[in-house]
Amino acid sequence: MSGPGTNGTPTGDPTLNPRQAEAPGATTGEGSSPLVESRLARRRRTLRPVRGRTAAIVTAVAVVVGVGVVSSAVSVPPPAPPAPSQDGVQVAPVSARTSSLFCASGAGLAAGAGATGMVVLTNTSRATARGVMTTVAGSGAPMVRRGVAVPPLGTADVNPALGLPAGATASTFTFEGGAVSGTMVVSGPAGWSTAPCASSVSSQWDFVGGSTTTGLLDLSLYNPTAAQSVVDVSFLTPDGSVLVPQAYQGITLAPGQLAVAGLGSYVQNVPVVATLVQTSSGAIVATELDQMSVPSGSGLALVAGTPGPATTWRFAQTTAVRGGTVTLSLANPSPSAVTAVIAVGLSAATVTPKQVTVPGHTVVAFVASAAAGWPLGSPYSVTVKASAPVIVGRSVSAPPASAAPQAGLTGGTTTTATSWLVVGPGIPGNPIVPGTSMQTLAVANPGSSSVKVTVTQLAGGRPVGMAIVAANGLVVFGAAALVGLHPLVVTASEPVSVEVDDGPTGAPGVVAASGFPLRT
Amino acid sequence: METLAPPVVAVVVAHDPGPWFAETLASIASQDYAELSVLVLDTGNSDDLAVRVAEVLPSAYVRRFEGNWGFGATVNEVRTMVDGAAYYLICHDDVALAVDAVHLLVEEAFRSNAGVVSPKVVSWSDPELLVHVGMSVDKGGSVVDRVQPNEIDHGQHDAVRDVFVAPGGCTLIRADLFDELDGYDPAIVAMGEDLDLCWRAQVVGARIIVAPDARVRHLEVLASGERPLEASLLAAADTAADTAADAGATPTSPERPVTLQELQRRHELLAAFTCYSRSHLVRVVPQIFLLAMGEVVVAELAGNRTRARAVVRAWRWNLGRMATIRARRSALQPKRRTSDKEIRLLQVRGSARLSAYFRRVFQFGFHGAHADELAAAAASDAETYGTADEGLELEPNVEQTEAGRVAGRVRLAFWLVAALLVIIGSRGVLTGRLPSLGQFTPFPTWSSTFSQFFTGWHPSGVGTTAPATPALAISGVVGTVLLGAMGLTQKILIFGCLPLGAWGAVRLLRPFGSQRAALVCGLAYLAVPLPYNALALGRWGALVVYAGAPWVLATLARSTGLEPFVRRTGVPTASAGVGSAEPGAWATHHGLLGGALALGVLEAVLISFVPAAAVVVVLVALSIVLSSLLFGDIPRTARSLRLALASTGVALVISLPWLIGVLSSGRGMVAVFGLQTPASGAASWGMVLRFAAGPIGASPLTWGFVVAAAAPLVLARGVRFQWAARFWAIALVFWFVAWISGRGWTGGLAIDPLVLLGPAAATTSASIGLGVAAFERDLPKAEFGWRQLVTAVGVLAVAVASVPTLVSALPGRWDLPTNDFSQSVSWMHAKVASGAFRVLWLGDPRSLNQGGWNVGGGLAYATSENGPPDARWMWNGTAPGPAGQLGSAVNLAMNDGTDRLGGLVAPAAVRYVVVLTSIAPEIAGEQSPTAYPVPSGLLPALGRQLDLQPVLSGTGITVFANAAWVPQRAEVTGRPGSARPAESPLATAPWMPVVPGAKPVLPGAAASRSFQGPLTTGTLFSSAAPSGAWQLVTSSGTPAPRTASFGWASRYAVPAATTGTLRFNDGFLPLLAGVFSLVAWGVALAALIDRRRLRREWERVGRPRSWSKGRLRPQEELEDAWSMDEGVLG
Repeated sequence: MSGPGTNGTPTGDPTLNPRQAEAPGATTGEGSSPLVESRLARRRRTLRPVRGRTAAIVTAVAVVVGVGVVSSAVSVPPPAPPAPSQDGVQVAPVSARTSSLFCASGAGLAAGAGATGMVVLTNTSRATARGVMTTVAGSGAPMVRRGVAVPPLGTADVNPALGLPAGATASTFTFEGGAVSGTMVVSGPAGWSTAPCASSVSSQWDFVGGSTTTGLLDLSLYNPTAAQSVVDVSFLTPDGSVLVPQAYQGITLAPGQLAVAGLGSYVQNVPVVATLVQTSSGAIVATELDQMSVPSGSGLALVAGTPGPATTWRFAQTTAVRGGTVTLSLANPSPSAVTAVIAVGLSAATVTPKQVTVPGHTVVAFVASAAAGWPLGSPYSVTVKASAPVIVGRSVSAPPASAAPQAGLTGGTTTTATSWLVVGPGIPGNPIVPGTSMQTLAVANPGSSSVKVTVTQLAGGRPVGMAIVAANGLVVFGAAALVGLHPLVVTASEPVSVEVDDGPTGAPGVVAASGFPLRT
Repeated sequence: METLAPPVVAVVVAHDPGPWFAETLASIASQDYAELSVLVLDTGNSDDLAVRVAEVLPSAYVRRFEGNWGFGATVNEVRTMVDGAAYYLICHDDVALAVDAVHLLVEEAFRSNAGVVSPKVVSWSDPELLVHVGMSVDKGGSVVDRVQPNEIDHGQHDAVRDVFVAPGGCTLIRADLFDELDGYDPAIVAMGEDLDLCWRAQVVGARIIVAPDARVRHLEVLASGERPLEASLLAAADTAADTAADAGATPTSPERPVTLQELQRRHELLAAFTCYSRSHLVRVVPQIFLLAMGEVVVAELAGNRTRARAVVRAWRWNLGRMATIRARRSALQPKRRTSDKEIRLLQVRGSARLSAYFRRVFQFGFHGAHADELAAAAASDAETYGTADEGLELEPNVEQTEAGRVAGRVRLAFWLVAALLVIIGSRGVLTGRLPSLGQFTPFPTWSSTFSQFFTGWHPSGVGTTAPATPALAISGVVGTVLLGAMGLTQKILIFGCLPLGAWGAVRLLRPFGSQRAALVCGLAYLAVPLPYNALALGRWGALVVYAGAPWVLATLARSTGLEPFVRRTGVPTASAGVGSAEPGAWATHHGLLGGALALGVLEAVLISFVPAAAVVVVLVALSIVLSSLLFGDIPRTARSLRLALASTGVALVISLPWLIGVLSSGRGMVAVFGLQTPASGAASWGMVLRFAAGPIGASPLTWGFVVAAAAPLVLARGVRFQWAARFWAIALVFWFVAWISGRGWTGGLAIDPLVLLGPAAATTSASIGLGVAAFERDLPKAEFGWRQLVTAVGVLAVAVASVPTLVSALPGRWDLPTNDFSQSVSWMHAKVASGAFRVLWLGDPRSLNQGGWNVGGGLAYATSENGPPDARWMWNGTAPGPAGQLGSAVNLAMNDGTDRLGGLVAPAAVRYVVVLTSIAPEIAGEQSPTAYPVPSGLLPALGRQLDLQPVLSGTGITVFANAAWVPQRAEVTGRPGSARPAESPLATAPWMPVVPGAKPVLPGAAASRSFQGPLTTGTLFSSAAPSGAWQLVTSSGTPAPRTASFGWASRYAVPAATTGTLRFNDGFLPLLAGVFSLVAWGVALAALIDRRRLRREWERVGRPRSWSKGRLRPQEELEDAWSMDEGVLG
C-alpha cells in the first residue's frame, strides 16, 4: 500500500494537495523566499485558524463532559434487594403452573389423644382448584395420596389424617395452578388453635414464645422435597444459654418424612424458649405445637414458624384485658445485643414506645399488658423494630374463669400488603371446632398517611365494611360485620397488616392469625 | 580395443563464463575416463566461446543458443542432440573436476545402482573447504546442506550414502532416467531445478547418492551473486508465468524483480506440489502453508519484506499455475514406484527452515538473526541454496534498502518489546490451559466442529435445526491446518486478535506518511486496556471486533476518497476525473462493488463470530458521515455509508443460510446481537472512556489515552486535523452507544459494550498517532510555545496511561482465572452412566460459557449435554424453540409460579440446574473473578423447588440435581407405546421421575445425531427436538411409530426386542446450505483475489494487456478493483 505520504509524489490536484491546503501563503506568494521567511509571516501563517477546530474541540468536550454529568446524575440502579421472606405464607398467583401447601397439622406427641387436625383450603380463583393431597404420618405409616378440589372462591375442609393411624401427620397439597391457601385448625382437650399452612419450604424456621415450664412443646419437622434434609435444632433461653441438644443435631429426614420431637425432654423448665431450626442440607417445613398451661386454664397453640429473623414485626391487633396477660417474646439469634423499640399503634392516641434490649442469644419477655401507659381493654397494633434481626411472638393468657381456651400463642408477621385473604377456623356454616367463628378483624396502618380499607367476602364480593385508617392507627371490624366463617378479602390503598381473632376464647388474641397476603 | 565402460556425455552449460572456464574445460579434458564425450551448450552473448573451447578441448561439441532459456531448459536439449549415451554428466561452467571424478562417479553409479550421483563439491579457491556433499530436504522442500558453511574437509563425509538432492554444478545422471523424467522442468529457469529433478527421480524409484571420492571444485558464481541472473532469464521466468497465466493462472507481478530467494521458494513449493501423492499432499500442504504464513509474519515484523514477499509470491506463483502443476503430476504420478512414506525417510524431520531460524535466534538473538539476513541481502554473500533464502535482491535499490533498514530496525525493536510484553502478560495462559470462561469455550475435535457446521441439527436448547454460524467452519479450518490441535486453535484465534488489531492500527494510519505515527498508533492500540479486559472476562467477541475494527475503519476511510486515503499511481487515469492525463495524478476510484466485496468478506468473518459486528460496521460509517458536519463533505463521506451497507449485504449473502435461521426467529432475532444484562453492573462513563470496563485499567492513569488523543485536535492542521476530528467523532459515538447499551437503554438491541469499544479504541489510538504526525509535520511550522508543551503532555499521557496495562502484564494472565466452572462440574461426566442428560445453566449472559436466551431481568438460560458445554453450544440459534419452555419454567419458579421446576424441565432431560453468579469460582488468595449476580430471587426460588436437590454450593456456582429428570433416551418396558409421561407434576411425588419406570437406553456421545443400542418391547422416550426429524429404526429397518410427548418430544412404540437406531434425518437442505456457504465463501474469496489482480493490472495501466484468457479488461473494471485489497488484503 502506498499513500500520499509514503512516497512523496507531488499531487497534480491543487484542491487535494495537503501542502497547499495547509500553507496557502506559499501559493499566494506570501513571503518572497521560502528560505528567508520573516518572523512575522511565519507567525501569521502558523496562527492561521484551522477550519472546524473550535467546533471539533467544543463538540468533543461537550459530549465528554455532558455525558459525564448525565452519568453522575443518573445513577445506575442498584441490584434488586432480596424479596422479603413473606413469612413463608402466601397465596400463589392464579397464573402459577403448580403450587403447594405444607400443613403439619396433625396432633403432636404432647397434644394427647383425641387431638385432631383439619385443614381449611380456600380458593381465591374463579375456577375449581384441583390438587393432590399427600399425607405422611410420623409413625412411618404408608403415605396416603388423595385428590382434593376446592370450589371457585370457596373453601373446603380436609382431614388429612383420614385413614391413617392416630398420631402426628403432615400433608402436602399440590395444586395445578395457584390461588389456594391453607389454614390448619387443631383441637384437643387443651383447646384449639389455627395456623397457616406454609407455602414454601425453607432451610430455616424460627419460633419463639413456647414454654417447657408451663406446657408441653412439640416440634414437627416435615420434609416434602425430593432431597434428603439434615436438620439441626437449637434453643435460646432467657438466661442467654444456647441449648444444642445432641439428639436434635443432624436429624436426617428422607424425602417425604415427618419427624416430631417433644422438646421438653431436652429443654427442661425454660419459661420462654426460642426454637431455631436450621438445615445443613435440604429444605423443610416446621411447625410447633404448644400445649399451654396457665393459672386460668389451658390452651393449645399451633405455630407456623417464620423462615428467618427480621428487624420489623407486626401484630395488627393486640388487646390486653384486665386479669389477663399479653407477653411479647423477643429472641435474638445473634451474639450481639439488639435494641428493640416496641411501638403501639392507635388511631386516636399516641403512646410512648418502649425500648427493650435483647442480649445476644437470649430470649426476653416483654409483658405488654403490664406496660405503663399502654391501653387496657381496647385493641391496638404493635410494631417491633429492632436494630438487628430478631424473632417475635406473642402469648396471651386469659383472666381467671374465662372461657376455654385460656391461653394462646401467635407469631408476628413481617409483611404488609394492600390485599389480604382472611380465613376463619372452618368453612361457612361448618366450623372445625363447634361454635367458633371470626370474632374480630383488625386492619393496622403502619404508614404515615391514612389508608382506605375495604373488606369484602371472597365469594360474591359482598362488602363487609369500609373504613379510613389513620396513620399508625387501626380499625377493627366486629363479629357482626364478619358474619361467621366467610373468607374475607381486605383491600387497602396502601400496605397494611391484618389480624383475625377467632373465638370464642378466654380473651382476644388467644387464637389469632394474620391473613394471607394476596398478589395484586 | 573395445572398452566396456558406458559412454558418458559431459554436458557443460556455459553462459559468458569468466576466465575460470579454461580450467573447467581442462579438468574435463584431463579425465581418465575413456568413454567421455563433451557437449558445451553456449547460452551467452560472447562470440568467442567456441574458440575458447576449441583451444582447450578440441574434441568437444559446441552448440550455441540464441538467448538464455535457463539452465534446465538448455540441458533438456541434450535429449535431442545425443544418442546412445549411458550417462550425462551435467556441469556448470564454473566447476573443475578432479582427474578421476567421472571415473569414480560412474563406478559408484554401477556399484550402488544409483540413478543420480553427486560428487563431493569443494570450494574453488580452497579445496579444503567443503561446499556440498549431497543435500537433504524437509517435508516442505526446504533444502538442507549436509555440511556447515566453511566446514573443513577431514574426510568426515567420505562415506557413500543416499542423499535427497544431488546439488547442481556437477551431476551424473543415467540417460534413460533423464529421458523418463523428461529432463528438467523448463519452467525452472534457475534455483531448484536439481531439487525438482532429484525428487522426481526418487518418485520413479531411482537412488540419489553422493560419491565423495569424486571431488569437484565449484566457483558458484550464480548462487553467490557474483554473476547476477540476467534480465533475459527473468524474462524467461515471466514467460513461464505468463504461459501459465494464459491457462488461467496468475502472472508474476513485475513491480519488483524476481529474487533468487523467490525463485528458490517457488521451485521448492513446485516440487512439493508435484511429487507428493494426493493423500500426502492433503496432509503436508496445510503444514507448509502454516509455516509459510508464520514466516511471513515474522519477516514482516523484522522488516525483511524481501523474504515475506518471496514467500507470498512463491505461493501465488504456484497457485496461479495449478493447471501446469496438475499436468506435471499427471505425468509423474503414474510412474511412481516409491511411496511417499519411503521418500519421507530420506527427508529431515520437522521444518529445516524453522530449525535454522531458531538456531540463528538462539545464537544471535532475534535482532541479530534478522540483521544477519538483512545484511546478507545487501552483501550478497549467499553461499548455498539455503542462503539463497536470505534476500538476494537481483536489482537492489540500495538507497531504499538502507533507509528501510534503519527505520525497520527501530520499528522492529519497538514491536519486539511490545510483543514481548504481550507474551509476558499472557505467558500463564499461552503455556498452560486456557480456562473455560465466558466465550472461551473449549472446542470439540476439529471433525466435530466441521460436522456441526454441515449438519442440520444443533444441540443447543433441546435441539434445533437453525443453520450454524460459519464461525464453526472457520474454526474447523484453522483446526485442520493445525492438525487437529483445537486447544492451540482456540489460543490462536483468541490471542491472534491482539497482533491483528495492532497491525490493522498501523495500516490505518499508514496513509498519513509517518511511520512513527503509525507505529505509535499500533502501540497505543496494544496498550489500551480494552483487549486485556476482554481477555480477563472471556469476551472473545470483543477481541474479534478489536482485531477487525482498524481494518474496517481503514476500508471505510478509503472509500471516502478523502485525503490522504486515496492512492497515487503515477499514471494517467482518463476517467479519474481529477488531474486526468497528468502524470502523478491522484486516482480516487473506489469501486463500490470491489470495496463491498472486500469489506463484505471481512465483515462476514467478523459477524460469524460476533453478529453485532454488522451493526458496528454501519455505525462506523454513520459516524464518519456525522463527522462531515464539521467539514461539509457529506457527499464523500456518504460513500462510506454506501460501502458499509453494501458490504453488510455481501456479508449477509455469504452467510445466507445462517441469516435465514436468524430471520426465522421473527422479532426475537435482535437477540443475535446480544442478550440484555443487568444495568446494575454497567460501566460508568469514565470507565467507558478509559476502556476500563473490566478488571484492568481501573487506574485514573488510563485517562492518559483520552488526553493524548486530544492532542491532534489542538495541534494538527490539514488532513491530520480533519481525520483527528473524524476519529474523535467515531470514538464519541461508540463511547456513547457503549455507555447507553451497558445501561440497557438500547432496548432489545443489547450489544456488549466491550464490543462497541473496539472502534472507539481504534480511533483513539489513531488520534494518538495523528498527534505524532502533527508533531512531525505541523509543529515545525510553529514557533516554540504551548504547542510543544501539549506535545510533551500527550507523550507523557500515553506513557503514563500504558502503565496499568504493563502492571497487569506482570502476573502473566491478564486477570484470567486459573480455575473455571468446567472443573467444578467435571464430575458430571461420570453421571452419564445412568443416562444421557442435559444441564440447564442459569446466570448473567456474560457468565455463561455458551449462547443462551433471555429469561428476563438480566438472567439468561442455556443448556449443555452430559456436563459443561463446548463450542458447539456457543453460537445458538436466535430462537430457543421448544427449549423456550425451560426459560418459562425458570420464570415461573422465580415468580412463585411453581415449586416443581424439576418436573417442568424434566422432559428436556435436565438433570442438573447450575446457577452461575460469577465468571469463575472465587478462591481466596488465588483468584477473584468478576461477579455477575443473578436476580436476587432466583436462588431462593430454586431452593424452594420440591424436586431440586442442592448438590453443590460454592462461590459463584450452585448446582441443583433434578429428582424428576428422565434420561434423554429412556425406555419403559411394557406394552408397545403404552407408557405415558405423568400428566402433570401432581401425578407424582416430587422425588419421582415424570416418566415412571424409565431406564436409559441408546447411549452415545453428546451432540450426536445417531444412537444405537438394544431395546426391549415397550416405549422409548426421546427428548431431542424437532421430534419430526428424528426417527427410530429397528434392526429390521422398520421405522417405529412415533407420537408426540410433552408436546414437543418423541415417544416411540417398540414392538419387540430389537437393536434400535435413533437418528436425525438431515434431509438435503442442510447439505444444500453447507454447499451454498462453501460456494459463497469460495466465490467471494476468488472474486476478491481476482480483483486484487485487477488492481495490480490497474497499477500498471500504462501498459494494459490481456492476461486473462485473452480478454482485455475495461478500464472501468480495473478501476473498480480498488479499495478491497487496499483495505483488506493490501
